[in-house]
Formats: sequence, structure tokens, C-alpha cells
Amino acid sequence: MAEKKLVLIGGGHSHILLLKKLGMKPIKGLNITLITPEPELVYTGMLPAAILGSYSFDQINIDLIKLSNFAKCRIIFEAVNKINLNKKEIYLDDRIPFGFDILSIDIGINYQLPNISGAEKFSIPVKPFSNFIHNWRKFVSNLTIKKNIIELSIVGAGAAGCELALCINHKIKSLGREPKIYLIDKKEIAGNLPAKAKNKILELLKENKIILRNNINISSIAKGKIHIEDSEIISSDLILSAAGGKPHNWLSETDLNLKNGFVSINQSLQSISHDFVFASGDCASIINFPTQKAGVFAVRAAPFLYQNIQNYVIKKTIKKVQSSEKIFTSINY
Amino acid sequence: MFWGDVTLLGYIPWLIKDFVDRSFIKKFIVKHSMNSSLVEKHIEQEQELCGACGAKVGNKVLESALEKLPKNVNNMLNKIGDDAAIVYLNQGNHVFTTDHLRKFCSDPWIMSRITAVHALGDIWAMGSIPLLVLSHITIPELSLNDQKNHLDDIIDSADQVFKKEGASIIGGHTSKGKELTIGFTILGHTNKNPITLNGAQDGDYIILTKPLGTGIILAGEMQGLAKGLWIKNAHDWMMKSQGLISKFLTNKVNSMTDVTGFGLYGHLKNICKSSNVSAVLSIDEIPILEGALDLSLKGVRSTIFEDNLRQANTDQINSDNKKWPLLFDPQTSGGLLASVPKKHIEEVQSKLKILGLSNSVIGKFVKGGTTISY
Repeated sequence: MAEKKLVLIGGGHSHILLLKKLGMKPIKGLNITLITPEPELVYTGMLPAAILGSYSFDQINIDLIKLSNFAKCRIIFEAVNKINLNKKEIYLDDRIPFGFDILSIDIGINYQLPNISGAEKFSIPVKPFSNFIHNWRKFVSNLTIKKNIIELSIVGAGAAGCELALCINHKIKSLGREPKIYLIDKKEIAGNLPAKAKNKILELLKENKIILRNNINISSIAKGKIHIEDSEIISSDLILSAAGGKPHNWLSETDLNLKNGFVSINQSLQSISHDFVFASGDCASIINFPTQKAGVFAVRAAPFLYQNIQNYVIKKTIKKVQSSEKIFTSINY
Repeated sequence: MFWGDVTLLGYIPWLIKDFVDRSFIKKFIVKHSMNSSLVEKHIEQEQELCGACGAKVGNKVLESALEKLPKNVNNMLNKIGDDAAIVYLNQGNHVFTTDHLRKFCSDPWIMSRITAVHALGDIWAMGSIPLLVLSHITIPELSLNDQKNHLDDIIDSADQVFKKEGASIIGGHTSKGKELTIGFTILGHTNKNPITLNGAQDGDYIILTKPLGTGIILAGEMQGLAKGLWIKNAHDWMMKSQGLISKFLTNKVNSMTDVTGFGLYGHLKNICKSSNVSAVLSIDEIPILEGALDLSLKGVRSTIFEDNLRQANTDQINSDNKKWPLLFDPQTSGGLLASVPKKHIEEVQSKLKILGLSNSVIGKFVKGGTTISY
């Protein structure tokens, strides 16, 4: 049997579990390549606790080189920005086109900075996490002894923004300083969470004296300053952006069927337009099967991904993902 | 914590989450990862691989890889594909060198790039520029398609490196074997006298243009102890061309070499012997790769380390400084090691700083004795 070339784009939570499984139980006749810009994956479940200092940053990293070696997988450090599904080719900077037979995409969400003047220059996005961690470490180590009140702003008050606010609040206190944290959103606070959870979080935010500025528009961001609708200025020592993630742009330049920019997949995790393309995690949406975007789905998808890729290679019937509608959400601070 | 509509708060739920998270992360701690993967995945084979001409790679596969190379090459009178290249040489001095490396990473494209830069090291160390290149490639017995992909990647990657330096691949040989091996034979040229090991003077400064530690990092990877970040950083350094640095240094150094298999100590010793000088190293100033010291302190050593140490057996090896094993660490695509007279040192130092080397001056040469102290 001729070898099939499986290319994994992105080192997300589904793919790391898939690689682990492929290392333990290799699929015969499968040649694997992982294309990812970073050699490490930050395990998002432990990120807030790492900000607090409960874990060292090393403890929450998953090493993709070690994992690839274990899975006998070739690893390429590049960001994919173009693919051709007819030719079955991936285009990378500096390299000749990279061919594949089967594709699996797990690239998550592209956390873009809000489209506000100054955002790119004067605020720090939470993703990529490695970059965020680096900047956060630098900020903490540069805190001068003289300054007692530490002002921080977080743009974007989804679950991630709320969690970040609580964590950072706690961390600044543990450093013996007084935190003054603004949580800013053009819509509601924690609007994407179930009602009970939302109420509990609002209570916690209040308890921790986080300053909530919802339903307002930011007009511009300058060095250490956020201008609100040209009338108010919030000064901040650090401005973080946890604002809405968007699907990666390059997906829309392919022939893949997308839903709101995310790869439309069926319950077998296959693209509904191209059966040789699998997708999982936040970059994909299961058609007619409502799920939230959360890491736990990426984790749950992995065994099915393994099984279905294997079934695809040996041309067996493909299994469907079973999923419970309830998910486990955790806010740490 | 929330489970659907149920809310849990407090320390106990956090403990549960901590347990779940730690267990999740633990799954990905892989030890001794590389040992298994170094054994190239072979397609089931009933017959032993033929040697000699039988090991040659099929014509079609080769043609497709060579197709992308330029048709007309300076210094070459015929075209690629003839039995041998007909070359004519400019006036001046020519340097001729060869090097090859065995598979040490999973991406043939990176392998090829590193090997090309590694092989060019000898040309650069002589203060010359590369002209013509022959490739020697052994690829493992893979499916025809994979052979093609491997070769395409290898030739493309190397061609990019050589083209940037003004050199051209004009031929070579490709065969099938047990593991991926890539090598290049390079012909270089200089109008001046090539820079040799001979010429270091009393009072010259010793400079090094890349951090040490590639041997330890790669050994650490095989033992599953090196972090991905360290490995990627080491790859990035090994892929760094030194063409610009070499051109800049050519008329400012008294002697030069590149640090490779014998480690800094061995190559420095060669300069000392040829030039009849002794070296005094400021060991704290020597740049090392991120992670190399961590691994060294854990006792990680490259397999050639012992050989390198043995070469120096008549010398007194000073092990006071915890960095000492790095001096004997064999380097892949290592830096240029040169002796720079005092009048040029400031200019050299600031130029290298611009090129990203904060520390490049690592010691001084003194009169006679051919010893190395640090």
C-alpha cells in the first residue's frame, strides 16, 4: 500500500493528543508532518494559574518537538498562510510547495487586536500565549518599588477577560501592591456564559473591586492611556487585550466550506466540502450541532480524530463524535 | 467551576482542577524520545538494499529535484546532467573542502540548510567565497513519492543557501541507504592569500561568532532532556550564514578557523600550535546557547566529548568554571574563531554587535607556549 501523507496544521489541543496516540499506536502507511510556528503549546487550562504563580511557565508548556519525535512525525516551524485543495499543496514562506493526501487543521482562533487606533502599538494581546507570558513576566519584574497603585486595563470582558482580571488582581495583591483594574467591553460583561455562571462572576468581580466599564466604545489607545468616546481617559500601566477572537484569514481564501469563517465540519470532524480535510478545536464548527468554542471540545475530539483518520486511510466507515452539551468551565483566580 | 448550570466554588474544586490539569500535562512528558525516531521508518522490505550502483536513486526522482537548479552557471562550460562538469577557474587561489552530516532532525529542509552552512564554514574560515558545489545525498528507502519530496526539499533548501552566497550546485550523487546523510563539496576562490591557522600574534584578541553548545543540545534532544525552544533556537543558529561576517573579517584578522567537531578547545589549540602562541580565555565571556549549560550541569555530553577531552590529555584541564565542558563540545555549523589585532578590535566588536552577537571577544593570545588557559 502506498504511503499516505498526513499533514497536521497547528499544534493545538486536538493535535497534541492525536500525536501522543499516533506515537503509542502508529497507523500503518501513514507519514506524518506537523506544521506549527511555535515549538511549544501553552496548555490554556493552566494559564491563569500560571499568571498567579501556582505553576511555573515551564509546567504549563507542552513540548511539540519531543512529542513529534515520539510520534515519528516531521515538524516544520512555519505559519501556513495559503493552501490549494485541488493540487493538495500547502505554501510556506521560503519553501517549495508541500504536498499532502490528508489534512487536519487545528489552528484555534486568531486573537486579533481590536480595530482601534493605537491598539497594535500600545496594548498586548493574550494570544499568542508565549508572547503574552513573555510580556507579563517583563511587566512584573519591572514593577518599581516606588509605585504602590498598579493600574491595569483589560479590553474584552468575555470569560477570558474576566478570568484574567481576577487573576491579575490577585497577583498584584500578592506582590504587596494595590491593583486598580478596569474591565472594558463594548457589550455586556461575561455575556457569553450561562446566566448562573455570569451572575457568580459579576459577584466575584465586584468583591474584588474590579472596575467594570461595559457598553462603552474605546476611541483610541495611546501609551498608558485609553480614550473612551472622546470624553474620558483611563490611565493604565499595562493594557491587555482579550477581545474577540476571529477565525484565521487564510481559511477564507481556500475552497473550504466555512461557517462564519470557521471550517464547517460534520460529526466525523471532516470538512463538509472536502472529505480529506479534518478540522477540530476552535477553528472548526460542527454543522447542525451546537457547541461552544472551548478547549475541552478540542481535547474530546482527539480520539475521534485518530479513529477517523485511521478509518479514512483504510477506507472504513467513519465514526461520529458524541458530545454532551454540558461542559465544564472553570474560572480560576 | 461550572458544570452546565451547576456552580462550585472554593479550594476543593480548585484541587480537582489542579489534579485534572496536572494529569493532562503529564501525558505529554516524553523521555528518550529521539532514540526511537532516529531509526528511520522503513517500508517493509523483503530484499536487502543493494549497494554500489544499486543504491542509486531513480532517474525520474533525481531529474525532478535537479530541474529547479539554474541551467547556466558561471565558471561552468557545459550543463548539469553531463557525466562531469567542465569548469574553468579564475586567477587567484582556490580552496576546496567537503563535509557531510547524518540525520539529526526530522525536517530534511532544515537538515540541508544546516549542512550547507556547516560545509561553507571551511570556505568562510579561509576568507574566500564559494563558487561551485557538488552534493552527496543518501536518502533512506522510502516510497517513491517521499524520496522525491525529500530530495526536492534538500536540493531547494541547499540551493537557496548557496545562491545567496553566490555559489551554484553543479552536480553530485544521490544514493539510497540506511539513514539520511547530506554532504557538500565546495570549491571557493580568493584573490588574496587564504587565511590559515598560522598568523595569530601575541596581543591579538580571540573572537568567536556563534554561541557554543550545539553538541550538548542535540545530545540532550536524543535523551529527551532538551526543551523544544532550546532545540529550535539551536537550529536557528546553525542555519545562520556567516558569509557577511567572513567578508567583513577577511582583511582584519591574522588567523581564522571554524569551530566544528573538535570543539572550541581543539580548534583553538590548532591555531596555537600553528601560530606558536598561547590562548588566555575569559570563560565567562564565551557565548553559549540557551539550555546548553542546564544540560551540561545534568551531565549531558555529546558522544565525541570524550574524544575531544582525550586529545587535550597532556594539558592541565581546569574544571573550576561550570562552563568548562562546553569548551570540548563538538559544534555543528559552529562559529568562526579568529585572531584580531588590537587596531581592528573595536570595529569588529561593534560590527558583530549589529549582527546580533553581544559577546564576541572571548580572550587574548599571548607569546609562545601553545597552551590554553581559562
